Amino acid sequence: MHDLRERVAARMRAIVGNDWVVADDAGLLVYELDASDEAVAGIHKPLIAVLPATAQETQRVVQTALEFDLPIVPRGAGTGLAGGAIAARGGVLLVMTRMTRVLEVNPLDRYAIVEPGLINLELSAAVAHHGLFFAPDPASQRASTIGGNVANNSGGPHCLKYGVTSNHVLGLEVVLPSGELVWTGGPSAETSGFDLTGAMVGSEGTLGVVTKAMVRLTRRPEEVAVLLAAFPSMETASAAVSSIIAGGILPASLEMMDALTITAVEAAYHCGYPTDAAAVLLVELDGLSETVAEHRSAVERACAQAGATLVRSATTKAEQDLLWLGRKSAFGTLGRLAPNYYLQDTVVPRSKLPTALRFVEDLGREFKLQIANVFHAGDGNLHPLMLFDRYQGGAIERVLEAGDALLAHCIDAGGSVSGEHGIGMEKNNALSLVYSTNDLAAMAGLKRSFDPLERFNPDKVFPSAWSCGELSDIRRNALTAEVAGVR
Amino acid sequence: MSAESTAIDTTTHQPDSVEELSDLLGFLSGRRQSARIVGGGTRQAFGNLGRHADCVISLANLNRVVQYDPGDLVIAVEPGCTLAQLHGVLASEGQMMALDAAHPERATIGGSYATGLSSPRRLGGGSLKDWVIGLDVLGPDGVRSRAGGMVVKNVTGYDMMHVHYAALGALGVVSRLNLKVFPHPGAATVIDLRYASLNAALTAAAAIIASQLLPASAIVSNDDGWRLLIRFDTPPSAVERIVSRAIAAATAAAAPTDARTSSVDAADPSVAPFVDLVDLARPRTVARIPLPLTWVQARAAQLEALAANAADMVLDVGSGLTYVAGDDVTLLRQVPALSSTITWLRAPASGAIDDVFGPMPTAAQPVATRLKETFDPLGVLNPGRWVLGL
Repeated sequence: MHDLRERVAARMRAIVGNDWVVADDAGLLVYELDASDEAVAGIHKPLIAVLPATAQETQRVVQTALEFDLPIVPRGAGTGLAGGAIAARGGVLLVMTRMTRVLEVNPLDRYAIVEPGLINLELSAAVAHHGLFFAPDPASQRASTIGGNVANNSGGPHCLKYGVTSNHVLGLEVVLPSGELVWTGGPSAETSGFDLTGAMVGSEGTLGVVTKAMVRLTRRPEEVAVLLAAFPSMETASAAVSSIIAGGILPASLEMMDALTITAVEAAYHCGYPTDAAAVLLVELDGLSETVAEHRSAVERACAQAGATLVRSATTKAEQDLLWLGRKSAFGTLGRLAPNYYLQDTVVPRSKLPTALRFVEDLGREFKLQIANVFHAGDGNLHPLMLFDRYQGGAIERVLEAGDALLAHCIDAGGSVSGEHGIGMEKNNALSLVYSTNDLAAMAGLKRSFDPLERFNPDKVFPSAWSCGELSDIRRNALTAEVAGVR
Repeated sequence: MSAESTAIDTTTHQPDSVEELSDLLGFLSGRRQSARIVGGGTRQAFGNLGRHADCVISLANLNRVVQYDPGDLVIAVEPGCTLAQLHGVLASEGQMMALDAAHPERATIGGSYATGLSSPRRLGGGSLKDWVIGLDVLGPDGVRSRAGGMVVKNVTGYDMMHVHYAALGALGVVSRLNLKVFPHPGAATVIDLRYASLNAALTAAAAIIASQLLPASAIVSNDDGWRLLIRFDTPPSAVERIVSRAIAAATAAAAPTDARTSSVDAADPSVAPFVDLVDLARPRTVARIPLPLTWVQARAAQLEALAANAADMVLDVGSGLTYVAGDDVTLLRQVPALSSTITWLRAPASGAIDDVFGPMPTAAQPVATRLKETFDPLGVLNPGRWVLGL
């Protein structure tokens, strides 16, 4: 093992330089985990971590790993919550965080070409003076990278109106599992034939590694309004959400927080959330000033009719930012309430939100768990945070059992097992709950078409009971057997 | 398909249900029969020439709305649902989908998806590929697989919706599309500005695109000089302000020779030149050239020369795509000089184009080939019509 590590390290150092290869056990400790809970994704030490500085270096690192028959696991900032950036089978961890340049900005055609290690928020900051921004804004945007966002098809509060990452990726430069470098897509809104870009986005680093991304930029709207509405129950807040969407209003974002979250956020940031409310909605409206004015009145009406005890608009940009600071920092503030939390990510049709939230409440009672809710209500994207103490016997088991029960409920309600955090090693087995063997076989066919030897990010996405090869062969054998029978 | 296969017939099959379609595919596949898949038939001219197919399967009767939840802003439809039908259903609930095509009463959502051709309103409303949140697809043996779902945010498994998008049915026959839809803003207004030169029209277009006026579409066409058509989808209360500001911004950048405004009711003048030019049912060559606005500005002289040679031209400057239609000789001589990645939406009849999708990077070719070999190993579906003649 150590002999292999040394041989690989020597080759990698020749490519990226001595300082950018981590090959000692102590140095690799920080690469054993990402932001997923060790109870769901485990702790996995890569053989070696390599930090390339260019696409060409990345390509040579991949080619070298292929020579050694080693798994290759791309990684950005490691903020993923599903274990996607963990080296499940060891091998080469390809850490892209040195590649942070903004290579080109075309303000009139509204695109930028960036390297994958660029931090999400820094992209928006880099183009702000053109009156543009990058719309996907995951809560991790102060740390997560564009490459990671592409791999996970990341969402965020503003995806309600503007769509998820895949809607904002025009083209990619990729090192394929063959070790070849390819540009796919381009600055125009449409390409025909084979949408390699579309297949890559959200594939969690299993189909190759992104070395450049051409991303769509969005024009800043002329007007933005942020409203805060307080409710006596989660149910009344959910009713307001349904009423707003069904009323023909598509806010830029529509977020909900429950009492537990409000308490934690207020204690930390003093954002002005009413601490006596059972739930608050944070509604952002943007666009033409007439649109915003009309929608603001309609949202105020919808909230009042649903039973809101308070509806107020942020009157200044500073006040808007403060309301958002509370929402975007909410997860961290829950550390005040418990030493650990497990953040579940599921999705239901928007109209099923009230039932799903009641189910979460029941789960808390049944499993004796404190559960905080802070989530993208407008998308039906739930984020219950189950609070626990890892050192309390049986706590994590109860949390995981409650999480599984919620997944089953959301699937029954017509939803799915992940809205934006990805599958990775956390939910790969849950995929069988959503998809049939034939569905999974088709996905395995895609994986094998890109990566016949399954070198890229193995043991992710697909249920552990199956190898991609086995799954893919199910369909292939069926398709060729049809004819064999006739012959 | 093997030359020794015994054709059952060469007629068109028109299944009335997904089950019938599945049975039909299973039957054909078991007998090594290949099939050409057809929706409304308006874009059959697009794609590589392909090999002989033993029969045609029309999806025209698979035209049901399977599920529509207006409150959730989602709809599920069968592939043969026409655009006119879909627009009508959505309009009844005050909702919309920004998708235009020639012959909307025949053009289907499945055909739009399979050909991957959206329309200029993607500037404000996004592209069809952004709205597909789930799908059912039948393999060449009629076996169904699903991906995505009926929720607007979903990262559960691979995005097969993008894999089958624009794949021309070469990897499977879509039997259901789940789509997200959008509330109708209330009013749609078009400004129609005339210019003597392409450069002036582009300068005016740039001024509006760079503004915060949120145009829904922006196209330039050669029509007795140059015509800039910009559509705005706004609340009725905003129409007057937006239109006057847009005309002022355009005029400040480049004064038009004529300026008109109209509202969109049944007909949509804002995309009429596009719909007319990209009518692939008409027997004339149509090319699409990927040219963002800044690239168009750099090639304005070449484009004007091409237009002067009696080619019809629509520059979808909001989406970065230029469409040209005309006679084969002119197009084959002048279009390739504009870009290395041309898509021939309707190829020259002379057969001078090897692959209508344009060149594919060498490294991507084995991936596309393996996809076809995996999903349709016997070449049953639309044989030879997709990229690389797959």
